[in-house]
Amino acid sequence: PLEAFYWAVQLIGRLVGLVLLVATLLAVFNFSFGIRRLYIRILLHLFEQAVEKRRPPSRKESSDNLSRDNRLIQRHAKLTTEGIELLHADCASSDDPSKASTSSQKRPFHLSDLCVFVQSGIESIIEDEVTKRFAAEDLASWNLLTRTNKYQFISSRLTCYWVLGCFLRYCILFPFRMLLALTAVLYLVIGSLIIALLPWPGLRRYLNSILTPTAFRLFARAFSAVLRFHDVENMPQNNGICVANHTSPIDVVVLGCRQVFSIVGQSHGGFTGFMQKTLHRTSPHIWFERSESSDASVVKRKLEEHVSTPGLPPVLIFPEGTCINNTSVMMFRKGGFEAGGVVYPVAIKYDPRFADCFWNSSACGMVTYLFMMMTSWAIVADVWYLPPQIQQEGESSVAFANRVKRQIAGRGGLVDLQWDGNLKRSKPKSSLQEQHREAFRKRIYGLSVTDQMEGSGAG
Amino acid sequence: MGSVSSLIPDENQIKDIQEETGLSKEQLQRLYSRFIALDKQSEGSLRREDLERIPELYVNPVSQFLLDAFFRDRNEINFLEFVKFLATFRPVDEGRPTSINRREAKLRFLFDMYDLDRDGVISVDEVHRMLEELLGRHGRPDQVLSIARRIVHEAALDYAAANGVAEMPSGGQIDSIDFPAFEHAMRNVSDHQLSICFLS
Repeated sequence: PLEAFYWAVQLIGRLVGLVLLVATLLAVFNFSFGIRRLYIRILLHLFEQAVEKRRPPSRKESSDNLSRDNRLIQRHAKLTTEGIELLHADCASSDDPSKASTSSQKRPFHLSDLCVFVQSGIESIIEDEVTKRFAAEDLASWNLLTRTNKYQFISSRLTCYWVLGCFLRYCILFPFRMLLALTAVLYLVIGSLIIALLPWPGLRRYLNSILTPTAFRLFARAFSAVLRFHDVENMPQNNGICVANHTSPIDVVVLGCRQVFSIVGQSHGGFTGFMQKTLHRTSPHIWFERSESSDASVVKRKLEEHVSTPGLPPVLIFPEGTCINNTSVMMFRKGGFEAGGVVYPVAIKYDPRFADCFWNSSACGMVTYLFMMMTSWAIVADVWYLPPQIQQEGESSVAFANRVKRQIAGRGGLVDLQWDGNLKRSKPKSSLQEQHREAFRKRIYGLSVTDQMEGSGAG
Repeated sequence: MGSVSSLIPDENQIKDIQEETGLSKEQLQRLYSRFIALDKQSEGSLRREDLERIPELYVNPVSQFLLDAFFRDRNEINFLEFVKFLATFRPVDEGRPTSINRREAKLRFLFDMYDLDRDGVISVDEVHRMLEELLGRHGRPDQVLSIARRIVHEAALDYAAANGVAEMPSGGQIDSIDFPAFEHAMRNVSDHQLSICFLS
């Protein structure tokens, strides 16, 4: 009996080893049996059958395959970074005095001038564009993960499915995925150690162009990733700058499956730092400290150097500067757009039904996050390579960044926002409040003398 | 975590809340989810800081007044109070003159925003404070003060005239208005400007 036990363990060990080897080879040669795609189809079928939709699918399903913005209220007034936006609601009366306020005429202050600000304030308490971007996307119907269950009343039938799902994810998929991920890491680490020892840079580069993408492919398979790449003819070239919307560290894996990048990112400690060091052995990346990142000139200089040195891989930069929840694209920092290279925009959209890919770094660390990813159903993503862009004559870096951002948002079906992603951590600048006051002041009659003073030392 | 789960309203409570606020079950669920999202410390109640974290509210020039009026007598609000407050701003229901979202309730809230010392009247100083908040430090103080005076005076005269009082007692400037005068001054404001449009 003990012998039989040992024999069984050995057999299982050998089987597992064989499977891992096969998986590695498949990754290296970029071949797939299609098992993951089949799995996804089965899951979708299951979701539809098992779970009733939270709300009927008749509402505005036109652009919805990618992003759904289920609103609770119809906004009347929004304060944006541009000013007050007055919106027409269906229940509007045609001679609404508030519409007069959009004209640039000055008029006397009235006690009711408060109303539009109060309305906007209360509306923003109910629903605002920014805070919802830092939490997981709302799903129309539950996908049997506890982490996304906000509304669904759990019947006994659903509980059954959920238990089965848990068993599948935690007891069967997770151990296998964990092994696969470890294999990928080992493969990358050992491979890069070997390559780093070779004396010929050309050979190193060539070998790395095989090693890194295949390691990432293997890593992607560890998440049961099903990736769809569109418009591959626009793939970033050497010395280009690839910009993409940022949802999670997995973005790097997703894009890294196809080519080698020089990643621009904040240097971390721990496991992330270890991976960063490993990658750095074989290819030049640009890591910086967070304190440095606010010194935009340092990043700019490094980018310029990289872009002008021939033969270097394209830079991968995430201009939002932080992870957002994949329903919108927030303000792009202009750093990547000033360095003078060709910009290759990329849009990444994850399907939220299979996993919540948003990494809220203040809520959980990298390892916890990876664990959650590995115990989700799968990672399904669409990647669109958009045509390369260059800065136009007379176009400022900020305008260039916004133009590219619009393109990415449009292609990925994401909402284009002007707000800064850093609002996840900090409050808005008080200058924004001043901006609104400024706009209001201009409408008040009787302050013309103050206007004349405006030129001298305002702000 | 325990404190939060004990706050999930049960079936009966939900019915009561629906009755009182006129919000549907689904709307209440959405608001509950919003409440939870804002309640970062998972205390089961919202504090001022939780609301100040909303960027759009933070940049609103009257946010402090709004929050002062909202948190008038308390430091934190629970879900019921949250929902009742928001329901106050539902568009008026014809034929339900005493409901939570009647016009008078909305105007009351605006009045409270002005009336900082809670003495039941809006004084020139209080209008002045509001103007300062809306204009920042750019308005010239004497000009802003004179605008505030004019507004209060005119509103009071207006109200008196509408009520058939031909002349003002003891002449001179009137420096405060009470709630009925405020209501009168706001008579041209449509319900639409005071309400939040909930989608079903």
